[in-house]
Amino acid sequence: MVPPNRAVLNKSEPLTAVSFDTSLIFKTGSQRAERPVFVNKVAPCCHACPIGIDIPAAFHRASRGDIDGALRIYLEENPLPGVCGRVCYHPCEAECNRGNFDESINTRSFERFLSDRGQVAIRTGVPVHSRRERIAVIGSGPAGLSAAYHLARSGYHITLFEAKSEPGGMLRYGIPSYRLPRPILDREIERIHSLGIQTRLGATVGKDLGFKELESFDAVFISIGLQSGTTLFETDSPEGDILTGLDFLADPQRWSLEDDTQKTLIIGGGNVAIDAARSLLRLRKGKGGNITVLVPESRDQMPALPEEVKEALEEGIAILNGWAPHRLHRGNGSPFSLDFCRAEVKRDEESGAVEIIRVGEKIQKYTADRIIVAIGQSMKSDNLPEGIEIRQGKIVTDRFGRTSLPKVFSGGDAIGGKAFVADAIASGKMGALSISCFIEGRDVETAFETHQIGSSQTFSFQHFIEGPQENSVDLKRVVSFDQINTLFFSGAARNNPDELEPEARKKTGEEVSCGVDPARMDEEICRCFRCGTCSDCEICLDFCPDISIIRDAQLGIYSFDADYCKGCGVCSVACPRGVIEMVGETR
Amino acid sequence: MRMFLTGNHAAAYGARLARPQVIAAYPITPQSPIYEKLSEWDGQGVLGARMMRVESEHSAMAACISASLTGVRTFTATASQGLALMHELLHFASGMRVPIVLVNVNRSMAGPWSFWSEQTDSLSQRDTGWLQFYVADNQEALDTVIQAFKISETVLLPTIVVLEAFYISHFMEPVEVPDQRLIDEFLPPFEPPFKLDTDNPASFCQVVSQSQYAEFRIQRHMAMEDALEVAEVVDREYRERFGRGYGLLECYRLEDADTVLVTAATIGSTARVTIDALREEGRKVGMVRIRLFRPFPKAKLIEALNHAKKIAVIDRNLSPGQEGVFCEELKSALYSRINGIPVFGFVLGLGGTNVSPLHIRKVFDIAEKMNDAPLKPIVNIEDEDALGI
Repeated sequence: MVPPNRAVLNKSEPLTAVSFDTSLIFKTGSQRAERPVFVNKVAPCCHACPIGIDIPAAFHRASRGDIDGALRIYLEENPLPGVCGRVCYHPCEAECNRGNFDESINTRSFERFLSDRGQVAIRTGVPVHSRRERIAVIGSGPAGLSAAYHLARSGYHITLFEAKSEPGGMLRYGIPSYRLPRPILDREIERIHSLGIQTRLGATVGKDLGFKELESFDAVFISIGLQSGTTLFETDSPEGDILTGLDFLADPQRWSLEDDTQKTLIIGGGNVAIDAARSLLRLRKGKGGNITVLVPESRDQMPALPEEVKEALEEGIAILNGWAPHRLHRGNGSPFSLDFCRAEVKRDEESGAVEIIRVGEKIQKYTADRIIVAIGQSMKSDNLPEGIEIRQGKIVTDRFGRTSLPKVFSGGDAIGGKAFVADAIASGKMGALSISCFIEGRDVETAFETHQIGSSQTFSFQHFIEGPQENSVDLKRVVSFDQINTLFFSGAARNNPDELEPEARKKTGEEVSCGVDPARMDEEICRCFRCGTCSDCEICLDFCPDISIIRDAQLGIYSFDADYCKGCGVCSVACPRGVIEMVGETR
Repeated sequence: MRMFLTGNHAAAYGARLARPQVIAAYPITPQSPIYEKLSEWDGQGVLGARMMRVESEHSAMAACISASLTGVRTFTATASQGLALMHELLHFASGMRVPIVLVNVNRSMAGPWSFWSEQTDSLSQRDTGWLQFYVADNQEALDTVIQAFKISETVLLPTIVVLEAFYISHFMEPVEVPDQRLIDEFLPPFEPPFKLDTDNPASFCQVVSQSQYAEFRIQRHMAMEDALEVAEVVDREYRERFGRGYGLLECYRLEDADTVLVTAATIGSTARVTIDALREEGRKVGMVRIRLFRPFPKAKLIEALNHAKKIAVIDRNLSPGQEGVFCEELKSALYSRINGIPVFGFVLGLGGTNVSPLHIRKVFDIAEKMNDAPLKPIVNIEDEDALGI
């Protein structure tokens, strides 16, 4: 057998470095050249949203079951989530990082879900009516409502003037109720009014009361929109059988119901044309064989929302693309005979101006009993304050909504730009910023740039009224797809809303979209990457080799242990959503 | 049981008989048949060890160290580039005092690429604190693997058992495979004095102070010196049980030998043939084959070479700018005790070239004709003019 020797005898002594004690004496933090920084950042959806809503933060709240908290985040920037959750053109979804992974998040349906289910008191920067200044807002469409809302949250006294008998502007008189049910709109407007806004309905400023009477106000915001349809023909025909799309949508009942056999031709390719066609179909209880939409643009170029076009086709409306009206005759049998020619449309990307070009010599004849013209909108400029600069039918402003007159600001369709609801809301928000800065004697340009979201055209009103908060978002940093650690996500199909069947919906006029059902919305909430928003997933805690991530249990925020963090950067690489980054150590 | 085995398979049988609990390895020519044989047994469910298929030799050694720290018997095998890739962790293993047994099949190091036998890969690991055995045939390969576990687990140092590429790894010879029961009696289960144990948590291999580090280094060296005696005792016990023993050196026909060849591995078995022939002619020649290279058996060498008048060393390796490593080590061992014996350093068989009985005869001829040993290694034995004889 093996004789005793030193090696054997030494076995009771430690032969190598073994510690049964703590190794905390080694402050490995001294080796650190970089340190992790935990900063919430802007998601691309938020950057693309004209209103700048912090969408991933809302998804995060919702994922914790806090639907009210999620809705509160929406209401920090957008007074009309129930509207936008139905009719927005959702540029957020086009930029969604998840779109590079499988399919983008159904953000619009999420917004609708929150507005339908959340109950929340609006977060104001200062108490309502805590400031003495008074502001007049003229026009209660989305731009006017947005300006009034944000200014009221800032403590101002607001008086909202509306020429029509009910508030809402195009939301009420332009968008059909099968897309935006009136109870939803009423509920949202009621919430805005709850901020102590005075409303004067049926009061046309410049006609029923003069601008002179508004002099006691500290500022005026004009958001009167583009209320008139552009005409091609004499639309006030004695028989009333030629209407503009807007006139028709404002009062669809003006055409009696017994004329469901009459052949109706609608000219135009925007939402108004499609809305008019679908509204008329519903008036006729679904008998729509004689409704035809003639569109100068190709199908791809149509300004109408693609889902609207799809739904119109499902409902049996004929849409003919690439035709422009050439000549109108009064016929004998049918009242009208129209000549159409082949057409192409060129759109100037800068100005949005549209040019219709005739192609070839071919002429097609159509007969129709009635005609709806929906080829554009214009402003009624006869009720504007004296001396205000107008160009090409729009009020001239700078990018902050300041007009050529002191104290007078403007926004929405009246100043041009994109014609969507979300853009009008954004424009109202910009007006509110501008008016606040004007009254408080602050430089609006500086204020905008301070709270601007990335390089977008919008800013965070919440940041503006509350200032930077603990752990708030770094508005200048947008999380790109390559900052998402997709290893932590598995593929899952997007959840789309259910819709009424075409045959059913066109007879009743009920809301076409039923929204995403709650169980599937839960799945959709889980799909969101929450780009740039710490979701408390604790993956950094799991991966840190030095056990040096510290979580503040009360605030739910993270920091690092400077004594032991070696700055390896594993947390930053592991973070699924681009919250953690490494910066040079400055010791 | 007597079987007809390649050296690789003999080593694999040796490993299996030792009942390791974890084997983490990565295949590489010419070692792959060891890995494949073990995998085959694993597939048949007869291996009895957990086979870890890792992504590199570096990972293989890391896995072996961790496994061994938990107190399980651990085996691996590699060659050449694979051993070089393990280099960093070879230091860890001996520093952590884990008794891993590693079979290295000697293969020339790239570049240029070459796959044949040369000892540079293992000799480059001289200072990593591993024991190194160089074996001369397939039977010795099997027996040495089993002995290595017992030696390593006694001194708590890891061991490399070196087989020459192809001359051993792929040549087939009759090999006596011992009975498992007898091996179990010879080699009881490994019981380390300390190990990773979740019931008694500890951290291993942390940063230590300068003086602690120095102490651990001296301790490791002492263990290596102890290993000389332990290796001899284990070999003696093995001979008693199985009838085969090898010693730390193989001394062949040394009685009254004037000119003694010193070499290692298969050149030693070839040399026996030459020496027998030269003895027939009345020439007084003999051989010492160095089987244990680390720890280096200095005292045994001095004793064996005490009466030699001339020494010739054949190295199948070359340390560039110096000479063959065995020759250098031998001179270093002799210098303190025996002065005046000329040591002729030959470097032959590089890149796996053949060292035949005739080559060895020529080596004896040159050593006998020359008076003074040259400072440089003799790499060309055909050009007598250049040698001045």
